[in-house]
Amino acid sequence: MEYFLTEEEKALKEKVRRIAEEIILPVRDELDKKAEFPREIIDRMAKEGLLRIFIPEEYGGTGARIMDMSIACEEVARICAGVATAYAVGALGSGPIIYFATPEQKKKYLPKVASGELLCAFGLTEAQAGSDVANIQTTARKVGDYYILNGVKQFISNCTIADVYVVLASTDKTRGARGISAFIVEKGMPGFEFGKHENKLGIRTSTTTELIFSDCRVPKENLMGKEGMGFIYTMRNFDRARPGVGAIGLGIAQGAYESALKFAAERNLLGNQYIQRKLADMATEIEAARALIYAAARAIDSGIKNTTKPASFAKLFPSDIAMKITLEVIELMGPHGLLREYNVEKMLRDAKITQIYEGTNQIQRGQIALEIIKECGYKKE
Amino acid sequence: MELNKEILLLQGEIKKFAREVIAEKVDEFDKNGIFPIDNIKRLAEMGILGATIPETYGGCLLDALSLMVCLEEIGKVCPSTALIILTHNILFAYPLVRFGNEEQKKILSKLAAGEVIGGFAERSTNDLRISAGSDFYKISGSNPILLNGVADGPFILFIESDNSINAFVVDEKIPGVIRNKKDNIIGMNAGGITEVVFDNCLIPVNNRLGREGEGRFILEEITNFANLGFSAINLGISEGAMENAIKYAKERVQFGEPIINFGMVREMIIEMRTKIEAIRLLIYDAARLYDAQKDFILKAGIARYLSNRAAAEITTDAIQVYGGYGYMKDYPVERYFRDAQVSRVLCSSNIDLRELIISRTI
Repeated sequence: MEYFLTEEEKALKEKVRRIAEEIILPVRDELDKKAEFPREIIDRMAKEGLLRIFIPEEYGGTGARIMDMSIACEEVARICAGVATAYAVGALGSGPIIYFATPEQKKKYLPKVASGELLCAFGLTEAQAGSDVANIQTTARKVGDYYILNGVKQFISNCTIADVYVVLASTDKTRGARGISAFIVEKGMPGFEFGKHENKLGIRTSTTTELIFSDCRVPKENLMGKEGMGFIYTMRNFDRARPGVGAIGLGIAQGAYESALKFAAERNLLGNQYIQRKLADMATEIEAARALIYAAARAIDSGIKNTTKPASFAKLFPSDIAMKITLEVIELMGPHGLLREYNVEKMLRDAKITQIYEGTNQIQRGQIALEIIKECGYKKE
Repeated sequence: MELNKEILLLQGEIKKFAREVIAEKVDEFDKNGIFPIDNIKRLAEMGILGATIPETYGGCLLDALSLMVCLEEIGKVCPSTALIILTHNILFAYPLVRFGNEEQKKILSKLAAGEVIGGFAERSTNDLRISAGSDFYKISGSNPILLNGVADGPFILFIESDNSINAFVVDEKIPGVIRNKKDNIIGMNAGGITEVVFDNCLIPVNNRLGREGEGRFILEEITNFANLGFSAINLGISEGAMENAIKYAKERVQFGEPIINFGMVREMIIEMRTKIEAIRLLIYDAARLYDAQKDFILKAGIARYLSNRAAAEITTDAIQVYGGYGYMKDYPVERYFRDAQVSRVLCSSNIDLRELIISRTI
């Protein structure tokens, strides 16, 4: 469908599609099998300027527009959602630096993120703090010119390959969510190590490990923004990142749909009304998801004040249709769909995570419901 | 729909075996793609490998309802093991009993004893070049899905040529049959699925099941029974996934309370339970019709159609209940999710199922 993309956006879409097909497509199956993510892929993407789109112009980027991010994430995920995750997490990790860091921190990190010299990650989740983000147990104690970090982060994407980790830790346990602060931790800081590599159902081309902090000394200049603001930064950062996650779901759905269409054509099934119905539904859902993501991205880029609802819309619906469509494609392709060589089983495995990460779809529904209730002037209880 | 005393006894026995013995290594076998041969031998001692074989041939023929209850109980714990049992009984032994000549039936007692495990080449993935001679069919090509391929036993292969379909028993006497283990299938990793390659393979006409051209009918008969069997595995998978999801939701604390207290989690469990009860009724109903020698075909088709979806939806939601943990191989629900994909598409496509349902409805 015609979405009236600007010339720059159209050019970006074409460029990312070309890069994804050229450099990711030939290796995605092998990387998925071995559960490996080579940093070289991100380096290649950086060389093509794809990491600049995370970053504002004044720091060497191209504007940090959510719209650009959504376009790029869809195109990468159409080929491989694991690589798209690694890419999007780079943006998720650099987001707080863009919006909440001190001018010195911005100058220090952002130009290098734009050029691809530094890759970011975001350390929030813990064993007991999944959906319940405020329940994090990692602590940061201020001693002289340092904060001493202790604790374990879990399921952190881009671990080991990223250079810069935005890490959430409690500086004041008595204050709960308002006692959480954000820190910029660099790979190699003493007391900062990686734990076990997770063996995952999907997005196996994206690394996931624990972050282990044992008396890790982080210079006080690496506190991001103000103490106690970490939770708020996180929520606002998520609002900016969620359309990108939705776009990963959209890319998976698009890739799976294209595979189904090709399969049906090769087997002369296109005259079958049952197949037609399935393809028509998939195509409709994909366009609806794309329109929703673009609308949310443009709204957030325009500077609207309350970004929560559009961001949650743009994550919830596309990830749900990614799951639905990949399941349908397996049904449509039958036993062929089970086989690695057709790639749709990978898309199915990858799709599942989009309903879970960066706020489960139950959390998104809760957020949307709360916003609706607030807008109407009703009360929850 | 109550089960009678005899079936309840069998169910109890199988359930105990599944939970005490099969469960022990289920994750290890899945992870390393190990065919659970010892467990299969134990199930043979319990008579389960002769479930479709009459006593005169050394089996201990079970009614369909009993077999479905067994597949359900095993499927709750290890869907791969249930698939092995289904393939052996319904896709191999059953057509041999129904359509085999006395020479072909000689193997039945070994099948019942579990000395030989029967296999089945998924028909829709056959990629064969066939030339028919007077005494032999010459076959080249391959099929990526040979069920029970690892067990090296005989298997049934459908060969289509000149608009006729024939079923053949491919046994160890036929040279040029190569099985390759490839780990290229999303699930049922312990189920012993291999690729099979036919290298200028000569299959004697004597290995044909039934008369020339009878394959289409044999295929339908197998498929109808298999619809019932795969429904029972879908059901077992669904129940196993739900059971784990409930257990986890009761233990997992977020926001200061177990997540089972949250409406959005309860909603998923409600959907699971409702679908499970519905498909179980359909399966038991169809099995009872089968046992009463009444027309069970439509009911079995509907059970398969609905349970294919239910298994997919329930295992997807079971992962959702676990959140990030559900996506990790350290927890069992991602295995149920992968296994469900296999169980819901083998043997009959959803196009076939739709045609079966509509043709018997209008």
